[in-house]
Amino acid sequence: MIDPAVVEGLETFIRERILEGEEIGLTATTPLLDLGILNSMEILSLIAFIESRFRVAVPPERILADNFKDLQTIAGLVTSLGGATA
Amino acid sequence: MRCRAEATPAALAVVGPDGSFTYGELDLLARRVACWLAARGVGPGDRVALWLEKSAVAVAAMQAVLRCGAGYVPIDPLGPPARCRAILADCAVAALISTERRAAAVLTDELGDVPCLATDGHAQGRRWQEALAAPGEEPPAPGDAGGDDLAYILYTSGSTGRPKGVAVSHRNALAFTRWAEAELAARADDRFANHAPFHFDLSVLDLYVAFQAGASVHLIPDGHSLAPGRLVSFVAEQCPTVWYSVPSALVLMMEHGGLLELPAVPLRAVLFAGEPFPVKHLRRLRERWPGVRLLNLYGPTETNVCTFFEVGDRAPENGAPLPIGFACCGDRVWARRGDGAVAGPGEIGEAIVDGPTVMIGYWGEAPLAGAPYATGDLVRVLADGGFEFVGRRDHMVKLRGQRIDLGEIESALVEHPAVREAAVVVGGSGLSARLIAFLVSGAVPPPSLLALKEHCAARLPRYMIVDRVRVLDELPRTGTGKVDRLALAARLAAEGRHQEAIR
Repeated sequence: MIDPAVVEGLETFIRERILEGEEIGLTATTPLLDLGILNSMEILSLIAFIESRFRVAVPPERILADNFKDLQTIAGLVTSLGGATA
Repeated sequence: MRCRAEATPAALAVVGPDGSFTYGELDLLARRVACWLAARGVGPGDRVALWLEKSAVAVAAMQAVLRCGAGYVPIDPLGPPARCRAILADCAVAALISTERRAAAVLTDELGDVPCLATDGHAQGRRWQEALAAPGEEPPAPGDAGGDDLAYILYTSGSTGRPKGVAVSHRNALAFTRWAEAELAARADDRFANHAPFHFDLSVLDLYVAFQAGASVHLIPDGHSLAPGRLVSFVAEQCPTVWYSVPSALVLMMEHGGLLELPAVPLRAVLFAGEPFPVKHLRRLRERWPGVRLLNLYGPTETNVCTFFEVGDRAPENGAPLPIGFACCGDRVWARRGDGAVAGPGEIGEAIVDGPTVMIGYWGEAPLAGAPYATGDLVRVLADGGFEFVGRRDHMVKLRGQRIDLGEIESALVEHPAVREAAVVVGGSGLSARLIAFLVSGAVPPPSLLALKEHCAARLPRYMIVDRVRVLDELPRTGTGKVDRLALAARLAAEGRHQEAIR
């Protein structure tokens, strides 16, 4: 189950902090790596956000392209790590 | 590689994400693939494209192509099919080695009947390797492939909007790898880390210096670059003795992966190239690892490596850039002033390279035929006769070590129906540098950033996709009618100050 609140939290962070407020209409399946929205630097700040916001640790071996391809898969990663939105 | 396979067949040659090969195993697979290629008419002078993820099998495929006397063309595994197709057509490949899914995406009718070997395919119930040839079968001798024949073509960003193929001969590559082998005193017990993708010239050192020395090469999978922590784990687990990468990768590993906190590493040499190493980080590296040789290599793809600088016991002071050093590999390098004279100490000129590492030429253009190569890089001559990198003469930039001709991005952007004119500049610096496109659009509303990113992603490698878009009524021009890039840069700087003020 993908938690829509997690998707929304991730979307807000990417839009406000990574895209610096640029409104580009991200959807849950916009390919973030293929479109160069996330690169190695940006993934680092996204992971720092995930760890503090959802109170999880993202182990290095889970930092795979397959886990970061779009908002939906990142949200799936957060959920599988036991991330909480409350 | 063949000599090594005869001398030490049981020695480890390559460790990849898909498994490891000893020299004997690598030789056997290369021989089988070479037989497959030869049976399809591949021979001296031909080109064979490799569109594969980084893997031990891809290394065997390269060896197989060379064994046929042909040249290989490694293509960015993360790049779009359209770019791969353009490259296949540009150098008229005789065969493609790829996977079934990738091949289906690129082999169109226009390319004719290019034979394709799919490394994930099955034939008559057997895995592809076993279906290739009987183990004892030998490929025909490659004829008289000599030092001046093509070894590989590396495609780089080109100003005309099409990628340019840098054609490198065996002699060019060997001039570099033999120099590096001697300089590093490479030994059979060395372990080379391979960080760079195979379509990037840094990988030539990792693969071929390792094979010359009978050492092993340890491939870092394509995806690892996303996580500095995984790169550092790779160092901890694979224990490389020689590391070669762009400085950005090392800086990320130091800053976010805990590289310098590793207890003990058997590294004896760390080499870097592709962009200036920030001195602040270099000093930390030097202090933490006093016994490790630190070598700054310089050279555009067209000349392999043509100068190098060894960082001494003390890294340069903050503020003083790291020199690119002195000519190597048998090359002669000098700085040519605007008036054509050779620049002296303190003066700036364009780096000119003459010697054995200078490429055959661009594929499809007249060969250089031994003429010196003008790099387009501006360098300052230092008091000791060495060089320091200053900048570029043209619109080529380096972003995290990747070479980008901004003209190629602009050409791609104006192919979009709603883009009339485009100028791309780099905003920010170092790891936070971004590609900013200034556009003139006839459409209302103008195309969205998402639409332009999708447009770029279908045509360009990932590192050339624009990060931000600004739509203008017209592009600022200089008196001669050229796009005024300084005015665009000033606009970005003003925007940055405005953002800071808001914060």
